Amino acid sequence: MELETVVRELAPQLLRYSLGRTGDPALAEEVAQDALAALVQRWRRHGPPECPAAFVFAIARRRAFRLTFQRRLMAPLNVLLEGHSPLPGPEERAVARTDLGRTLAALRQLSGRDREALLLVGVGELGPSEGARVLGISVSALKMRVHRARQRLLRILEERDGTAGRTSRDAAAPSAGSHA
Amino acid sequence: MEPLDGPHETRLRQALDPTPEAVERVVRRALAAPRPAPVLRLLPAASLIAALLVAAVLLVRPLPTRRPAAASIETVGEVLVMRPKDGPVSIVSSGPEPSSPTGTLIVIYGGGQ
Repeated sequence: MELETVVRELAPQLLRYSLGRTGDPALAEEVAQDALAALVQRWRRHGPPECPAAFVFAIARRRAFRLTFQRRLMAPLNVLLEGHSPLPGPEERAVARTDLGRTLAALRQLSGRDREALLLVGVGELGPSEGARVLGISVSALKMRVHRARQRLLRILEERDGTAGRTSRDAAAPSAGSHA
Repeated sequence: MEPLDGPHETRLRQALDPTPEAVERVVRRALAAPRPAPVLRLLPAASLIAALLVAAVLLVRPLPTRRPAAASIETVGEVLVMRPKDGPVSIVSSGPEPSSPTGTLIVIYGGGQ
């Protein structure tokens, strides 16, 4: 097992997880980089951890929580000091219309626990035992959370796709009348 | 566990997929993390030991050694008798009651007096 190979394998998984967790690509890069840098330092000092994936995801999880919390705390101050509008800007509105934006919106509708489990296992591609280790729960509890998250996400995406389909049909035929 | 590669999860992963440039940037920066200097690595342990030593010096003082009594004091009725290890025995009495406020009587005997 070589350090650089492991880092290269874990980087895309971590970036996906971090983006799903923070909803911000710049923040996601920061989270993933910090977690991987911690792995590199640990590896060079004491050798590889027992499970490098669980190690980096545990760090990324804590870091993502801290950074999003800080951002939420600072948001009102940024509005006051720098005159940033709390409303989404043109760039944020454009992102919201993309598949990424819609996916992030769907993920936000899940409960925190279920979202975390789905992001670790479904997006970060951790195994059930590694995911359970990161969350500090049993494998069966993790499976239950992932199952629940999948069902809920499926419903949200189906509803959304249905609405999107109706919206595009209505837009194509405006004479058909207004839609709810 | 049911298979993870359902169409929605694939779609989820595709939507969150990072660009190759972002992956490369993160990998490069992580691998460039500075190696800890040996002195800095020992710094926490050294500070802990120093703090423990200071605490030991401040908190753990030598207990005072118990010295033998220099004198014993006992009361016999209204008379107080003090018997030093060396030197004269002192007897203190308040004198006859209560006629005089200055009626204290001190008798010293022994030691050649």
